Amino acid sequence: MNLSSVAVLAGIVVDAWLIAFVGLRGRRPWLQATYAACALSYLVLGAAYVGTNEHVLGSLDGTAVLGVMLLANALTAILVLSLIHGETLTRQRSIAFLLLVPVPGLTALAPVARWTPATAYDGNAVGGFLVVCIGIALAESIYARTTSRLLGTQAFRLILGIVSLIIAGPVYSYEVDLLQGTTLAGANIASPIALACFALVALQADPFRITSRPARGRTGFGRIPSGEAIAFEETRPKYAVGAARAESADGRATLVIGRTPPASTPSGAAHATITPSRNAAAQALTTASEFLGSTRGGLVVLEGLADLAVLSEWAPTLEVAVRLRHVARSTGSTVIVSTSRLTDSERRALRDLQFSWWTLPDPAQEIEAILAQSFGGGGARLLAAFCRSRGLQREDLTPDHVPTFIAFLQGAFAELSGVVAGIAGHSLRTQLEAAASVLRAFADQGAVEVAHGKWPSHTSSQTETELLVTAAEYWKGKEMEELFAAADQLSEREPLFEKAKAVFVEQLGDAGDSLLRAQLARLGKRPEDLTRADLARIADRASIDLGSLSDVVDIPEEKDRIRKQIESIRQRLELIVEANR
Amino acid sequence: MKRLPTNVDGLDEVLGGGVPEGNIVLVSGAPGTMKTSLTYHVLHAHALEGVRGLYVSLEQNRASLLDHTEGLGYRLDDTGGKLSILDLGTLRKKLTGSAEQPWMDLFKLYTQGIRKSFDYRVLVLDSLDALEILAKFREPRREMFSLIRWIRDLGCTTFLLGELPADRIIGADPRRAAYAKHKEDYLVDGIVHLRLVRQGEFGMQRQLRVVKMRGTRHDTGYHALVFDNGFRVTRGFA
Repeated sequence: MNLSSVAVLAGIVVDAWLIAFVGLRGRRPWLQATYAACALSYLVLGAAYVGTNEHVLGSLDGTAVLGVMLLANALTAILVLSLIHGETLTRQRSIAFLLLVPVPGLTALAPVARWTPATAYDGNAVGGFLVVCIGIALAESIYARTTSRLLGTQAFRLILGIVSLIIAGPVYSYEVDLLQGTTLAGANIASPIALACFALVALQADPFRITSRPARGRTGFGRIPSGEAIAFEETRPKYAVGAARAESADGRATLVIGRTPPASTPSGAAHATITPSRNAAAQALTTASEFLGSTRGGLVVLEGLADLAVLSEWAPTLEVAVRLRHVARSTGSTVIVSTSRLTDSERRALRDLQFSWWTLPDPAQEIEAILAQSFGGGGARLLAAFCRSRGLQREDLTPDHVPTFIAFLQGAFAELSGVVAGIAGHSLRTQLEAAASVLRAFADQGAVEVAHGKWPSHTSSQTETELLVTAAEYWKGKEMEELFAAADQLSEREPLFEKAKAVFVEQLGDAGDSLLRAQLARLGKRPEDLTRADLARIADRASIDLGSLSDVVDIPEEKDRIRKQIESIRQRLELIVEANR
Repeated sequence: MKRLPTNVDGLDEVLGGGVPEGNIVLVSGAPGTMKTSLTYHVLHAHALEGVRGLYVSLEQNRASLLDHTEGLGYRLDDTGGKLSILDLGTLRKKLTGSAEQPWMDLFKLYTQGIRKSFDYRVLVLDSLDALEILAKFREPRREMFSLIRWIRDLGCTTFLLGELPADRIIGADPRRAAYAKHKEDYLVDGIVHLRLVRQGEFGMQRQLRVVKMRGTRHDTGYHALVFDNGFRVTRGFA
């Protein structure tokens, strides 16, 4: 076996390994199929050369080899286009595959025009087609390298692969021709290098793993308009996640891309967790575009834009936002990006892109403003009492907490039933019902209404701008000292067990109640006897006592999720202990 | 109708290609009829093809189950992480402190949570009877109805293992036999019955019968179930 046969044979082995590697590791079926077809065509060319050179095969039909050679080059161009424009290629796939159209025609004409693999790079139609294919791939890669911060590194690898194909293909053929040596008859000795470069680019930009992926095809429509990208300006991505839940409930295919998976309660929306890597921005782009490509009219909520900026730097992240807007427009879908945790300069840069900009309030501030309308300055006290009773931080409050908060207010009012009666009691109840009604109306509003409507905090602050405090304003809520005191006492007197139970149930669903009771049983306590010290002990031992919940699962992601829930329980219990100190 | 092949030689022919996807199938039989092995075989074969499956074991712990199944040649490592075992048997021992553990809630918490992160398509619950005992069903029929409806909402093909006493089956008239304690045989979509039958003076033979399979024209007779480097159901058994 001569040296060239050995080299080409080694290349075949590498090509085959790469096909298997990409096939097993990749998460983009169309790209994997294109890659496999491209690599297989190079593999066939190599095998044909080795077979004939080593006299294992009889003389092969030159036209067939030429056909495979044309196919390999056309598929190389299509593969490179897919790797660069993956997010939009779902719609333009048919256009890219037009490159395959001349292949059968040129192959059919080859015997007539006496085109062979050896003369493929001569100045004829075949040579012209090959130049067009490789030229498109190279030009696109160079353009991406020079213009894109997101694809810069990947484009460099693509250029490396294409240039190696050119050197081992046409350049080598011309040299052999000049030296009157034997050509490789279409086989390209650099195909393993090029395919390795392409594989690296393909796998580094692979989508994140998606949980609970909805069915493919057109989805239902929610209330958020389609065909655009919307920036949700909010301190924490509360409305962004809420919008995902609401749209998903309306039957719309929805994907949330974020740092951490959602809590235990299923929202119906699919979730992709950002994994820490320098390619996180490119991966987020492919995750979103593949999702929107397969579920037309869907919704992607990118709540972790700030995380992408940290992992992949801001310029590539900004480019992701721009490209996602393009994807949203071309697929009739919606992309929501949350500005949560972005710096001021990043926020300004995003604003300069002229996204639809929805500014959303902090629900805690709005709830407080609503309370202020009924209870004056005492509203803040009521809210603080509620947060204490539930072991919540004020900034954790979302509109979802409103029903529980109203129940808490009603509990405080019930405490007063023996103290406040008659007209005063009736007046207090009226005030309470008015506040509850406004709170419910606020909680029922989705992101669309809140972004375009008037916020309670704006309404109530209008008088403040006039720097005038009316007597009515001054006395508002003053007569309700009893209610505030009752709420304070309620938050203090509400059995510790109820507070702890709320935490367990929030994290572990219905099983949480019984698991907490089991913990109490271990301490030999009844729920009504639970003390702060017991709760501190339960918190201390949570990771050990509840750790077995994650030990029985053999799926790393699930183990991790359960551990996080247990850690969250521990932290929240400590907060309750601290608040009751 | 899409079907999930069982990958058991002969059984898919009996079932007209396999179990309709999304069906809930009760696999009932006396101890020693290979319910666990047969359903594990289905999960393992699908995992080898890349279809994810979850085996929920309430009786055996993970190590014991793996000892048993690897002894039959079903290596978990070969599945590349596509087969998961939820070891609630071990959790039973570790979660002490109260006899009133919320097993039904825990079962739902895990199976729903794992569905989100692992997206399994085939579920095996070993066994329905163990869950009933642990969860202390107060109104068994109502709670069984609620459980099966909940499992149906998971949207995956499910095999529920049901224990039958040995003496009820051997020699019983199949037309009068009951396959479940609380009429869950009316609630499920399919019933596969396994039994041991005396053969001659000393021998015993395992037999399988597809009693019911919604959406399927199937053979209702008993067939020999043979394990010999994999399961095989021989047709035309009289």
